[in-house]
Amino acid sequence: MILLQVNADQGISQVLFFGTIGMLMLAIGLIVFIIFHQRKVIRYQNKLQKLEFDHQRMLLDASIKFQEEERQRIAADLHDDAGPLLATARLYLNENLVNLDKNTQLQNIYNAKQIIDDTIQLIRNISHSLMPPTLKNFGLESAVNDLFQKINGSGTMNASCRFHDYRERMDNDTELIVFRVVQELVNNILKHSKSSFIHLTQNLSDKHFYIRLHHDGKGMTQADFERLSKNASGLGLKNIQSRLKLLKGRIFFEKDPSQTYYKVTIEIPLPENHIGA
Amino acid sequence: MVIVIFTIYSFINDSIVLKLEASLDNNAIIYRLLSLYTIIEFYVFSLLIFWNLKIKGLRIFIICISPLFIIFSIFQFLNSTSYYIDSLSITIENLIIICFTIFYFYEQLVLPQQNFIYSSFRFWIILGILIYSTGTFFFFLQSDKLSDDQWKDWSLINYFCTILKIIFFSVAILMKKENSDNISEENPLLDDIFDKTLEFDPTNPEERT
Repeated sequence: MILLQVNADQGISQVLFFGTIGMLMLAIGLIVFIIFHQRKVIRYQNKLQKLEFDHQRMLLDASIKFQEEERQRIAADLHDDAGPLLATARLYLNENLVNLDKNTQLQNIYNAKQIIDDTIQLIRNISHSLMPPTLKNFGLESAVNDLFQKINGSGTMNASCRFHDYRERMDNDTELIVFRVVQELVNNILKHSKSSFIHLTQNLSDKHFYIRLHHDGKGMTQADFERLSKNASGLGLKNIQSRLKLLKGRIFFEKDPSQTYYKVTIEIPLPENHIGA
Repeated sequence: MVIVIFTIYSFINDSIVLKLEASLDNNAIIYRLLSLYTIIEFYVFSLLIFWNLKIKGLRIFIICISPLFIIFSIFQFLNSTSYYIDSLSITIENLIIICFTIFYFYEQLVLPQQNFIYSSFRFWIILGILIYSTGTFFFFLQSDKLSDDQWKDWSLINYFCTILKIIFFSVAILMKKENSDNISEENPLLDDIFDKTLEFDPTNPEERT
């Protein structure tokens, strides 16, 4: 009987001892697992955040660099073209003009007028390159048509465009951004693709505005675009990305299934007041 | 504040029980005190876990389960004829509380977190509850089978787990104080202001002005 009692006591003690140790081990194991798992997840999240941050910084750098280049171009245009023209006009209208004979005076004034007209034209051109007047006054469709007509007129490439559904204009800022993206894409095609034609189509869905460019030259796929836009070079592509980011838009580069054409599609979400209009 | 009050209450309760154990042969008062303690402990632990949960479903589950246990404990408390420790209530309490703490850790796994789990004072509160509940689970499960001598010997587990629980609660209280000291009262969202500079886009004509 005593032996049975002793065995029963030992049994309880063993259950208690091993049970408690087991439960504590389980609890500690659970905590350790959660801590390590969470550390892993947080490290991964931080890594993703860093990548996103680096990408944002790259886009910002590209934007700043692009803006600086634009400023330098304007400064160079003003300094190299407008400056000498105005200086020449000033020479014609110098203080000795009153001492010259009347014919020479008239000739000098005429020359100065010609130079000032040229300068006005030059400044107008600079201004138009900053903000195309067609875009401002008549909208994206007219500005793109104008751009394509100019390309056609040069005779180097067959360019055409068609807007299928653009009855209601988007706001000026959006139009300007879309126009700049189209301009950049067209410039790239002109510079690098060696294509014989370029065709632009505009379309509208319930919630998105689309522009698609087709060309038959050397083009890019989405993978090329993503690789190049992450490089230190490729300022134009980064600029396209940062501009589209402002509109929450997307861009897709693809090769036609027939392997004959390259397609670039821009997708921009329509503003609330345009949806269902 | 809840933790501090509960810890003080635990200390007073344990002191009274120990004193009564030494002086009284009748266990009725000790039984009443311990049963009441079980109910209060369950209520406090459930409340602490409930406050620290974000997932609505888990909170609702706690709201549904807690009254059931409290009703069961009160029923046991009123109807028990034996004046020995109420092993069943305490074991069920421990089981439910362990489940609730697992809810908290589950939530930490499924919800995205910015900071490490142990940098929050909440983690230390839940850790204290979990270690205490798991550590004393088998002790209270077997408590009605223990002789007086064994009870005294194995009470060491209870004391050890209680000390661990109090240490973890103290860490939580100290961490909470430290966290609240570190927040700038003048501008608590200073980080947001610095983050904003990254969103600046010089190509946007509105931002340039």
